Amino acid sequence: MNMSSIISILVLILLTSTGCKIESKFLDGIAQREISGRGNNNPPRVISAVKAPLRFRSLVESWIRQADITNNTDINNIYMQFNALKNQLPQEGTATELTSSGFQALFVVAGQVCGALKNKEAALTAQNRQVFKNFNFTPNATLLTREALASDQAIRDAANNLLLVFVGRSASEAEKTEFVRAAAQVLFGVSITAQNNTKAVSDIAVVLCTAVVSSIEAISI
Amino acid sequence: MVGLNLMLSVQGLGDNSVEKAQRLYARIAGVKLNSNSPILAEMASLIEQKRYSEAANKALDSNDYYNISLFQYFAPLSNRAEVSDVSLNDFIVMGIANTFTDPATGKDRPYTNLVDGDFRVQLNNQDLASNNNTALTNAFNARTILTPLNLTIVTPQRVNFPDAAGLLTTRQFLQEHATAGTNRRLVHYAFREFLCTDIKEWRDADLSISDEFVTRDVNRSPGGGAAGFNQYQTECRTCHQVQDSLRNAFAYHDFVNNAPVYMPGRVAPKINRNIEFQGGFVVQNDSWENKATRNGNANRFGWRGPLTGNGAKSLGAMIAKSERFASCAVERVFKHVCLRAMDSSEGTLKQTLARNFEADGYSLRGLFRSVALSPSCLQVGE
Repeated sequence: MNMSSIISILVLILLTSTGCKIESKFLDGIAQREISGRGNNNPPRVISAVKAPLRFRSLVESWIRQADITNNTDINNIYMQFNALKNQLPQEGTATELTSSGFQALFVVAGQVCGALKNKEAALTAQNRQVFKNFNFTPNATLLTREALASDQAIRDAANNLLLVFVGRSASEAEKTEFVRAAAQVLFGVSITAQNNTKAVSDIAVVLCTAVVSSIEAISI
Repeated sequence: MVGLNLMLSVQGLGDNSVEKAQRLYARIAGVKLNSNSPILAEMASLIEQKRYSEAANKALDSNDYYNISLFQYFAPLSNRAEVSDVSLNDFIVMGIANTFTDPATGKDRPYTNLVDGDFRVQLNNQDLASNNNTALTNAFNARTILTPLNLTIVTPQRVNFPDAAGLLTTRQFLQEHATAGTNRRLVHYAFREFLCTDIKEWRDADLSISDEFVTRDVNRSPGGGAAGFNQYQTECRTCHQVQDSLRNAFAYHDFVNNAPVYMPGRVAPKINRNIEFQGGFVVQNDSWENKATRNGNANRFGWRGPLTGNGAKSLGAMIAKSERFASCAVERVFKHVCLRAMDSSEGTLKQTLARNFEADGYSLRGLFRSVALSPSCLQVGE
């Protein structure tokens, strides 16, 4: 099992353990439309379009494009994970396909995407990164706190960037605050040492990214 | 365990031009892009200028439209289970290639080619093998991007093959529906995929229907006795009369040893092999007659051409000329782009889109554009 799979499962455990549920209101909502203008002289007109989950290849290709993953090995690994789990992912683009097992599969494939994104960003200078601009992916042995690896502001910026890239909107202040809290939870109970600080900052990046990438809003069109 | 609470708020459809561009691109081309993508910026600018068709054309001109969206459009039509999870096959690539602009005319090729066209495709200037799908499987696994440069349309579909009927006589369609059996499934699925109707809907349940085309392999007393006779009279023949009379179009076609076979003048042995009722119809040649013209079928299909013919090509031409062919394409594209089926209140819209599709030379790209920009779909123009 590679790092991304481990992280994905970590996210899955964290999310499911806190009752992070599909909002049934949303599932109903994406299948609903309002129709107005019924009448002899007014042709019916749908006034709200339908939103639905990305289906099948659209899903994984969207993630690859949005994360701008171009390394063939990374893409192949994403597809291997996708192929292993695709039967659990939305194939027809209907809301009812978003089952609990579907979300589990989403987490795992999203984790693979986020692992690739993190690797790509870690290899770039801070100013050339798109998402994790001020994360210290190559910390020296003296950086042993979460704040030293990824400051609150770095996380708030990353939250905003993740939502811009994968959802297409900015993060609200409340969401940014929640990301900071979540980053702390990723390392809950973990003592950061000179031996694990690189992994710690990577874990934060991948977990936060996975939460966004696998969100209903990100996988819907 | 204390955990994350990162469930993002659910947003409605966005109203700014970038969000509209993303929505238009994703629905037409099948992929969400990075919001910093230059193509989204171009589309957003066009949307702000109310140049919606040009914005849609950006998506229609993308490789994603052909490789992701059209793949997912044609894939379910290409297999018996009607699922998207298939590898690339000749049915899909011919559907995609037919949607490329014709370099000779500069115009879009008609969607009707898919049921009566005499063409094949070459990948990287190489013909596809008739007895395996290896080249396309390899291309699919390598995520080869199909473009007019590497996927080209050539004629004829096969050498010495006068009965080409577009996708209906592709290796994939014949493999799915002409393997063993009695070729009835070719008609069944030709109607399902291109007229959007199943035999359960277009069977003629009016018991005055005759049964002269019902062949010998249909038991006139299934299960035996009077009950079986009644079942034949009230059920079996209502499907078989309309289906068997058309099935003759594929009399010379078969799929043997992994390859399509065409035997001019010779009926595939499997068709007349089984004998349950000696007095049944015996297929002698590939002449067919459309018996699905009575009662509800007249309105359902809107036939507008010859109702008899010889072979699959003429059957495909009859399908293509029907009103239902165009409205079926509208239904499929609408569901593909708008992610919902058209409802009963949208009959006028469906008719308008179908007639415009015909007037536009059956351009699938044009239909995608019209559907995506219709007020009922994505609300890009509002």
